[in-house]
Amino acid sequence: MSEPSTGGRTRDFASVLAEVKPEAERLLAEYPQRRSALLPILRAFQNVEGWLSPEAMSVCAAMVGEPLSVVESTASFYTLFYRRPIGKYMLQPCRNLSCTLRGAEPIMAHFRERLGVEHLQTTDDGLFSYEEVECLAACDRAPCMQVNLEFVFDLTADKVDAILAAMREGRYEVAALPQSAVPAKSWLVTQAPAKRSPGALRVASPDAPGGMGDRSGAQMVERLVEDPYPVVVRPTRERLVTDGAALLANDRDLAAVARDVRPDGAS
Amino acid sequence: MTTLPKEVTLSIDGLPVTVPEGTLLVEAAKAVQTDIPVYCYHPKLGPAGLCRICLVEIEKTPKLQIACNTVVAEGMVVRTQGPKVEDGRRAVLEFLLLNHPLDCPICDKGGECDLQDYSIAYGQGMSRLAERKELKPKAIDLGPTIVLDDERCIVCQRCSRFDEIVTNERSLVVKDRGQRDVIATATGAPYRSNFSGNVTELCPVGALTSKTYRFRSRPWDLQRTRTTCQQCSVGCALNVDERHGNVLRTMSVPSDDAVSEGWLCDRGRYNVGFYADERRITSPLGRFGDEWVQLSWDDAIELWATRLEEALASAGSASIGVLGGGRLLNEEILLVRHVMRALGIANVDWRTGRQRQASPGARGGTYDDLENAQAIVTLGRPPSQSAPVMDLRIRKAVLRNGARLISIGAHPASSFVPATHLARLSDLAGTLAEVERIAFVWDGIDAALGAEAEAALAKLAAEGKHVSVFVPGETPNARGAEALGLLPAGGALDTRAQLEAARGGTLRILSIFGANPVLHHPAGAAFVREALKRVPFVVATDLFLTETGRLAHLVLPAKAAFEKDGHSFDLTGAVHAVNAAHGAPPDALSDGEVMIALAAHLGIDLPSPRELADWATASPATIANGLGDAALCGSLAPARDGAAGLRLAIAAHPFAGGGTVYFDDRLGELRPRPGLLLSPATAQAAGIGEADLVDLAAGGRVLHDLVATLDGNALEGVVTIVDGLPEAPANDFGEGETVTLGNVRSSRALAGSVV
Repeated sequence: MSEPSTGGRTRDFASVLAEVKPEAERLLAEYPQRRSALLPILRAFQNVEGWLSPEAMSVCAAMVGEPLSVVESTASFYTLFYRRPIGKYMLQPCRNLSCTLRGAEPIMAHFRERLGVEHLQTTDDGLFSYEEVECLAACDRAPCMQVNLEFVFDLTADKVDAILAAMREGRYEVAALPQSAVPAKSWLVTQAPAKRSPGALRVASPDAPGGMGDRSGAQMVERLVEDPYPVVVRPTRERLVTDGAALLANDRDLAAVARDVRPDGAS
Repeated sequence: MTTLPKEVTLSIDGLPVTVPEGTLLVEAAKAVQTDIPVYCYHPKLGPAGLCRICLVEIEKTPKLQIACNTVVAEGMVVRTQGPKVEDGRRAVLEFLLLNHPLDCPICDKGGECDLQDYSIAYGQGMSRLAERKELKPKAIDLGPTIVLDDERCIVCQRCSRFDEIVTNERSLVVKDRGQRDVIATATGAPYRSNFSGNVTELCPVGALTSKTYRFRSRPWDLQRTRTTCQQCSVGCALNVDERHGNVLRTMSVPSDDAVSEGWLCDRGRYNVGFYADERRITSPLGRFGDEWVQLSWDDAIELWATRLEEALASAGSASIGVLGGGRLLNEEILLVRHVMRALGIANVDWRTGRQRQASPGARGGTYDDLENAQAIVTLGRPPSQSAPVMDLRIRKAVLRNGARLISIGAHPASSFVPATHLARLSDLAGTLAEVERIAFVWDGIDAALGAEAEAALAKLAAEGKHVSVFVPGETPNARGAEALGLLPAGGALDTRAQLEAARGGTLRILSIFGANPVLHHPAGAAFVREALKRVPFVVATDLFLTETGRLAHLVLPAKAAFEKDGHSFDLTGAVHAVNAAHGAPPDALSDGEVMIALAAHLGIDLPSPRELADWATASPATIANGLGDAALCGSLAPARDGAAGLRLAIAAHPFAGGGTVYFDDRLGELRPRPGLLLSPATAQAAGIGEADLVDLAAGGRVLHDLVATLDGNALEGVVTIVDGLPEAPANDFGEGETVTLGNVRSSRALAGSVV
């Protein structure tokens, strides 16, 4: 059986939720405010799922009564949370000040070259996920890294090679992290760039034909009578369109409005 | 018990300063006019301590301290200048600029950018970074209004804190960490807020920019005029920035506007494209049969005056009707009233929409009353739709002062702060027992509900509670139109009676001032159209040829809000100056100027400018006897028919209902699509899914192709549609009517058919 090369679940979310739910409910009951349980619940999900899937974060948001944006913001702060499925070994060298002063940059360059991946990527064989992280609080033995959350200190290029070789041969001893999905190559989630130049908005100059300065009355009346209201922009699949009533809504799944609901030619 | 001193005295740059205890150093420095640079600090958002630019030297403290988060102490000696402070700020700026792209020449913020200004004041001029800069995404489409440049962002979090502290919508957050942190929304969710534009003003750098203003101008080329927003009845102060005759942007007046507290809603900020729309009427137009002819102003006024004189001579003043005025300024309203009174015309009514009453009676409150209320009761349409910036006060009252928000009727109060909903006013009994200060917000539509509320609040007031009342206007100066007398006097015809008289053939002339009853009057489009068609002579003043204007015989090009001077009332009755910021189209006249011209043709003496100004700026008299005043509202029974089934609620929407929205192509996605809102359970019972197309019908009237939205905040058994959409006019329907939904077309099937 061949493994898919890009990400895919090996366990459905319903079974993950069923497993985490009792623990989450216990955690929620432990705090006077529901939002205080956010971090432990996120951890409970990751302990089972191996990463924080979008479904898990949505469910967490509902459980603690916070918007999804806040949950994503919190999860993204901690390098202990993975927002994409990870490989067998999670390599997290520190990129912060002490480590950099002690040579983290050549170490990171070495990693990238040996693994053939960049920050927040996973090797094609699904063995290594690589993330350059902020301070791991082990400055006394910089440069340092964590492998599956266990520390490795005093890194050198040779040491990196030895570690990677041991991992490839299956001799490197470290506790496995849970995995419930095949990792995809890239982790990066970026927001969409502006599709058209947002500056290209039309404002008629007063002297342009049809502008305020134009006095051709018959033409003006024709335009006014034929088209007093501009045609409603037909929603496309890509474009999120405000629904009138929808703006009144609370906690609405905005993405759901993005569907193409109006067939061509319908009025 | 020792009493702590109320004030402390300290020294800032050698000058003694006495400020209240607990004042932040950055605020205390303003007392001696010392400018401490800030990025993350904002007076309305409080300190965050993120950017470190506000470093100052405090004697006996070894290291520099941030002025934004240091509280003053007695005898503190502070230096905000000097080599040590400047060194510190230079170091901070070096870090802030480390990865900055230095693209000032193409950045919209250039010229009004704090990063630019402080770099000149404190920066070192050269970067010492030898490594590659951290690259981040640029020109991110954050939502319908805002573009984000992550490389320019210094992550001061003013935007995300605004979205949390002020609006409580919390869609903007910081993601990631360290050098890689960015401002973002939840994955896949656009930044959508009624107040999104404020983040562009809060942003101290060029990271957040408005789509409508990107690459349009330099700030020093703009001509700024302060005026009052005329998009709704809240009355926010507004700076209009204009260049070469085009309104390029509007900005808030942050420091000294007691109404808005420095925030603007997106309707007020972005709905300015209509000023230069090519469909604006630029000269008087006469309709003769089906033929439209451009007229000179002289001919137009003479035509109007002649028809008025003929009608007065042949059928008397009762055969003449006057509608509209809620969009006019006080001076214009007074001139309309003066001319009509001089002609003996009493059939005058500003109410061309659903609202019956615009004044709160004797218990009218101020915005401070609203903010300090311990309980806020909204009746009917919530102010979040009809008076957005006022809703920020309500959110403030709820979030910061712990006020309770209670909505009554067919509309839930607010989506962004905790609120309770009660079906009937009687359910309120007892729940306000331990509350001292109560605010009622009524939409002025359902007179019966208003009268019921008046009885309830009179009872509360009799118990010694402080009760304040607010009635947001359906039109910006509804309060002015009502208070200054655009009402039928002495048994004269109100709007509906005028329309009925028109249908009966007894109305000879109808003059409509900046109103569109075909789209807005609850009698329904067909009824109003039929009425207008039977009037021999209809005059309409407007910016555009609306549905109503197209049925008129004479259409006069009006001036828009930024093109005229005068005054208006806000919904609390405060007077605000409106100043012309923008040249009107050459042949447009304000309704006031039109009245002056008409008076001249008819030989009517006008009040002196001095008298006019005195009347226009006097506080409005208390004309209503409380909410739901029978004399004002009439005895209109609400359209509740009590039958089982789905009830209809008709909501306002910030981007619906005004011609200015529909003739502003730049608003695009902000305009609502014809749709209906249902609770998930109600939708399920009706077999409707999210984004399905549905037809809504009641008594033979149908609205086709409404897009369904499921909303957990919606009330069970209620279908909500938006008022004032030309594509789906809701004025054929009555609030509370029983409706049926049918012809459901599944969004999935429809999506499949176009792929």
